[in-house]
Amino acid sequence: MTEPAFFVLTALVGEPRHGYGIVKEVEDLSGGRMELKIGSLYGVLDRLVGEGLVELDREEAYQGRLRRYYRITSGGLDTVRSETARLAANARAADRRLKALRPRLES
Amino acid sequence: VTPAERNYRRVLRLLPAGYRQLWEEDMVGAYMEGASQDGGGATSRRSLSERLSVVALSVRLRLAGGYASPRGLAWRGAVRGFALVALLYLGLSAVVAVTGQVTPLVRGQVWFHPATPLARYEAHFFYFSPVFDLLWAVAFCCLVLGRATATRTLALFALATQVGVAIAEYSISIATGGGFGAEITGDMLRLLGGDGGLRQYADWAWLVTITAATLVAASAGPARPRRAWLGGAALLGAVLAAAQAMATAPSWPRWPDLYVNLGILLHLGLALAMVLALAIGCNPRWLLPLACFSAVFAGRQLVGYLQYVATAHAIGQVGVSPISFWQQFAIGLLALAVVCAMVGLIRLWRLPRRADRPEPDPQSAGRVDDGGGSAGNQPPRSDDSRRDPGLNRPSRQKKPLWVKLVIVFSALVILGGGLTVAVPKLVAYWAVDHVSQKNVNGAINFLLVASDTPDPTANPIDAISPIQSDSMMLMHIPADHSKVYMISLPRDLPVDIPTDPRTGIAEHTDRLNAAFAQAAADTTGPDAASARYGNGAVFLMKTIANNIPGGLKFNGWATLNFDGFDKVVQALGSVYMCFDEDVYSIHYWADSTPSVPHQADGSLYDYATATGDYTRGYHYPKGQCRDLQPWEALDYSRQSVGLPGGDYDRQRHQQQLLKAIVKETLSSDTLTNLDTIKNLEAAAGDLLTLDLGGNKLDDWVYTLKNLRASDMVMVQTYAGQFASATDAQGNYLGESFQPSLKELLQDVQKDDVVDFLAQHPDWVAKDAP
Repeated sequence: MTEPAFFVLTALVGEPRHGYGIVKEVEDLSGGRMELKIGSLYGVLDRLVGEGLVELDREEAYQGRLRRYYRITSGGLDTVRSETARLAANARAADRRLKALRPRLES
Repeated sequence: VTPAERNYRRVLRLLPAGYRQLWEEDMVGAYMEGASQDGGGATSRRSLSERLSVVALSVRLRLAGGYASPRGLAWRGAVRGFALVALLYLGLSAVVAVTGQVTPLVRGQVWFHPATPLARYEAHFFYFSPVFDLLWAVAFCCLVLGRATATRTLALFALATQVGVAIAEYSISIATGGGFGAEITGDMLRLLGGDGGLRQYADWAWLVTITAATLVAASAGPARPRRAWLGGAALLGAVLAAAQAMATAPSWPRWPDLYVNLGILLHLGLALAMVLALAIGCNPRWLLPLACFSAVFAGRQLVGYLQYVATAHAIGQVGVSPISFWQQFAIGLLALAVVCAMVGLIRLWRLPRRADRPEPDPQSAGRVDDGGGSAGNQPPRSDDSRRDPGLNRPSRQKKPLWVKLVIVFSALVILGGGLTVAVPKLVAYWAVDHVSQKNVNGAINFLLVASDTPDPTANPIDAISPIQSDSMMLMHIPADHSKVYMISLPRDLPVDIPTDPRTGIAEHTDRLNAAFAQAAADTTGPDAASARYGNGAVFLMKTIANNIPGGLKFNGWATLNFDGFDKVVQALGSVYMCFDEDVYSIHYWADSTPSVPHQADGSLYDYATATGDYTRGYHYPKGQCRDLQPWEALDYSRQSVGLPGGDYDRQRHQQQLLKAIVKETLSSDTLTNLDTIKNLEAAAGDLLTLDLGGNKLDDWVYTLKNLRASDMVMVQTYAGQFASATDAQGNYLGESFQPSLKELLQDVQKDDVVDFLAQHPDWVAKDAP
């Protein structure tokens, strides 16, 4: 799973969002590191929808346009969970190594 | 609609139609919302990066192939088909080429004769360079199996090795001054079809096109792996390789002419495949690649012919060889390719440009206000279901009458053409194998004498003039009959001439050609006209044997008057030769009208005073290669005046002519065709005197039928250098008879010429560049 896809899925956890809403949320989630372009976002969305991880939630009129809201499916939630567990395990492993390094640096 | 929105929508047009149907509105909405949030209008930088992301998305989607329309899919299929056909061709050529190199190696028939380490490296490098071509075969397998990354890598790597080999060849040829290897690299280039210039550029463009098509085909999403195809290709490769191995291995049963006729097989195969593709459903996925491939092949052959005609006109050549059967066939192939391409394109254009299955509209299905059930509301993205089912199986559409007519007509032409060519050839092979079974055993020595005397019947005055042997060659074939060594003997070689009781010649020392002339002055014999040649040749053999410790046994001899060469070349039509130096004729003016060399006043060349501006004569420019008219071939190979090597150069040119004649005979598959040989013999008539030493011509043909032009090794005495002998007063006595030549003649007697040449590599005459 690519990082943009992971962030898009994460942004949809708990709350359906529309396209620009996802961009904003991803920016927040990543602490401003990831600025999704519209082209990249809809590439990712197209794939996630195709894989059944995301689906259409509803449409709302906003400033004369239809906003389409997307929500995460249960399959998508499972994916985020397993991906998060994997990343956390990676982070813990790296953390242990770094902690083991610290005493030597201090001595 | 704001200008920003209009611009953005314009960029979105890059995306596949099916994708836009699903996502365009949403993307525009999100983009405009972002633009307004940024403060009323998009900054140009932001807008640029947004546009780039759309371009990247479009490339990704198109490569992945998920949203293609039926027409797009058909295009992609055609590109894939083209890549498959082209890679299969390149791969099979590589298999055949490598087999052709390896077989003689395994059988110990290859022998490098490098003089320097660089030349040795060069020889080996070019001998084994076809191995690189096998990369195409591997790329084909990967593409069939649907391994995208491996295919891409291999195709690029294969192209890179081609470039590398070309660069290496170029730099080595510069470093060695175009030395040994010219022949091998020439063959390799001919494999690509190029003799240089425009054609070679076209060949590079062709390779690059194939590589590009392969990259696109490999990137166009996963295709179903078809293992059955691999089996078929492997079978084809095995058959071709076996045939090639048999063709290059003399003692194995012969496969009729595959060695020379791979191109012809390919033409036939392409024609059949196109007719088949027309007959079965006119699927553009196969019609277009086949048509494209055939057009390139047929076109290349025709361009070669047109170039030849243009050159012939440019240099004012009188007669031009007529278009050959296979060139006519190439025209037919081209026509068929055009028809196929048209049918394919029409079929393609009739396919819908947009994805035909309307995507479920999320706007109607998803408008559920409570945010609840939206099952089945995903835009469909299954890769397999997206393919147009109609393209994968033969179309049941009724074919128009003209398509049927084209199919029937082409099938008849191909069948008829194939039969008229194949049947006589097979019959000839059968005849050679069954009519004559008598082998000429052991090592073979054969004397060839080319004489300068005009035909006595044509010019009675010359009939009484002494016959000079202009060029003497000892043809040596080792006991395994795998090679032909053509050893030129210097005319002025001082030899011990034995006594001849019949003519009363006493033992003395004289030049080698004096032995022929003295004996040929004797006109007694059963048939006075040819007896003179016979007497000369027999005594010449006796003289040669007299100068070799242990003597030398000859299996036969032939003398050919130079006018006989003319007849032989006429019977062949023309010969292809390259000029290895600038040669000016003293027999023809620059405009190809005959000159009168014996006149002193302002004529081209004055024999009496050995002066004259011979550069006014007909010019054979250095480096040029072309088909020579009979008179040109004859004229070129007779000139010695003004050449740096004098008579040595003439000898070399005569050897080249002889080799060119043999090559011409071999390349038209006539060596094993008794009829042709008998025709050549008949054409030469009285001008050719032949003694086959008690064996019939059929036996010779049977014995030597496996020899190829490439098996001929031209040996030039003293490596083509003058080695003049002088007496104590410094007078020219002619050529000196040095130990090296004595050693060579002894090795001929011991059938060990290979060993001699391994120690004297510079005695092997290079082919003309």
